[in-house]
Amino acid sequence: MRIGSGEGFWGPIVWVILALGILAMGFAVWLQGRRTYKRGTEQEEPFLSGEKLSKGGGAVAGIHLYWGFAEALRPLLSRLVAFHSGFVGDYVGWLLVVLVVSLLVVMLS
Amino acid sequence: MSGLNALWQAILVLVGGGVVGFLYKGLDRKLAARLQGRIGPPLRQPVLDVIKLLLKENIVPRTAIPWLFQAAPFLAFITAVTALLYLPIGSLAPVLHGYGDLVLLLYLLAIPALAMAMGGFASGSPYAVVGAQREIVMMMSYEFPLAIAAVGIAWRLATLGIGPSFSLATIAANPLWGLVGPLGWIGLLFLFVALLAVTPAELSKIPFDIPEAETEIAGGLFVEYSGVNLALFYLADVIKTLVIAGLVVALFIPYGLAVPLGITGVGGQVLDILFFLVKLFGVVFFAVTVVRVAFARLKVDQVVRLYLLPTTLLALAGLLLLVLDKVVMGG
Repeated sequence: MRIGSGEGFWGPIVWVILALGILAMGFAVWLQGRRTYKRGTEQEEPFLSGEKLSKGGGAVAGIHLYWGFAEALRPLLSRLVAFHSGFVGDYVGWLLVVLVVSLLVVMLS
Repeated sequence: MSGLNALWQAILVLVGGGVVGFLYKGLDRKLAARLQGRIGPPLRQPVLDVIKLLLKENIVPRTAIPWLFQAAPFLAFITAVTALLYLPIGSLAPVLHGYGDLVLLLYLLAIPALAMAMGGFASGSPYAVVGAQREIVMMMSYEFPLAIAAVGIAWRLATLGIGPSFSLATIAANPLWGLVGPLGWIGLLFLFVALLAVTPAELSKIPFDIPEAETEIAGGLFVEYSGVNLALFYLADVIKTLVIAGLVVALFIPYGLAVPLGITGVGGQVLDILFFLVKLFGVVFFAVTVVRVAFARLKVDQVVRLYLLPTTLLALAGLLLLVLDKVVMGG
């Protein structure tokens, strides 16, 4: 079976068969490895440079995910944040501006 | 092509890919050491590393989601290895030609990184979670210029009436450099540079190794991995290095030696495969080895800024020049 768009294509069933074959290869490698460790000992503790993990776990909040983005794009984001005045009139005004620009682009093209 | 023939070819490519991957990994480490004035490890060191990992305990941390933690290395391994069979090798079409195109290859290249992030999140270690978050942020930054470079080439081929334009065999058989005008040529050069800039980040190599960053977060998303699970990630990295270098070659330097030298038949195919391996080595050496020796690790915000601003703008400029080239030169 092959799914095509005219310019692109792929055969999902072929990929699944291939993936199962490669999974078998990976499993064969996995079986060669040592699979035991000392369960219930300190080995199972996550590494935290010698510190003990707190009772609540060492969760790093998801909000940190975008820290790199926010930090890199701070000049742009600070301008975008300034647009968010909280007034509905401002938002509707921006909506109208974007609609007019979009219509102009569509009409001209 | 019969199924049995395809199976033999697939086995040949996978075994050959494994051997070449380990060889390039060894060469990368040896040459990086020589560039830094060190002797470096022997070429067989990557193989010894995997053997050593197989002898180590395969620990699953108490805080982990065990099935997800164990599944992540398999997912990375499967997607990296399957990607190898969608690449044209020398003058030969991909083994699975007709069953997967450039878009599939881009997805398969993205999944090992996602699997690493998934494993990091599943381990429950704060270091690994920070590393996984960095991996995701880095992916969100470099995928855009990568997609622009790939789509730009396919789009220009489609405008020239060459299709199916997303087929890697079609792209490799019709190098755009000779089909476009001066504007398109400059545009292609921009896209080539953008793709080369993305290559070390795809492989999480210095200066883009922020998800691992041993000296900061103790190995990041791999901090809890050991033994055979880490070996599977290592194998996935070995193969993914070949795949990303192979993609660069297929998109931008697909030329062979057999046709210009007038060598036909099996001899020509062997010559083209050898030349393909030289080109792969060139890409790995200049885009990975030299870069990781020459630069120090960047911070996460610096990586995001580098890819979302100059690299994306360069890729967009390349795409725009290809569009202008179509307008000037015609379809």
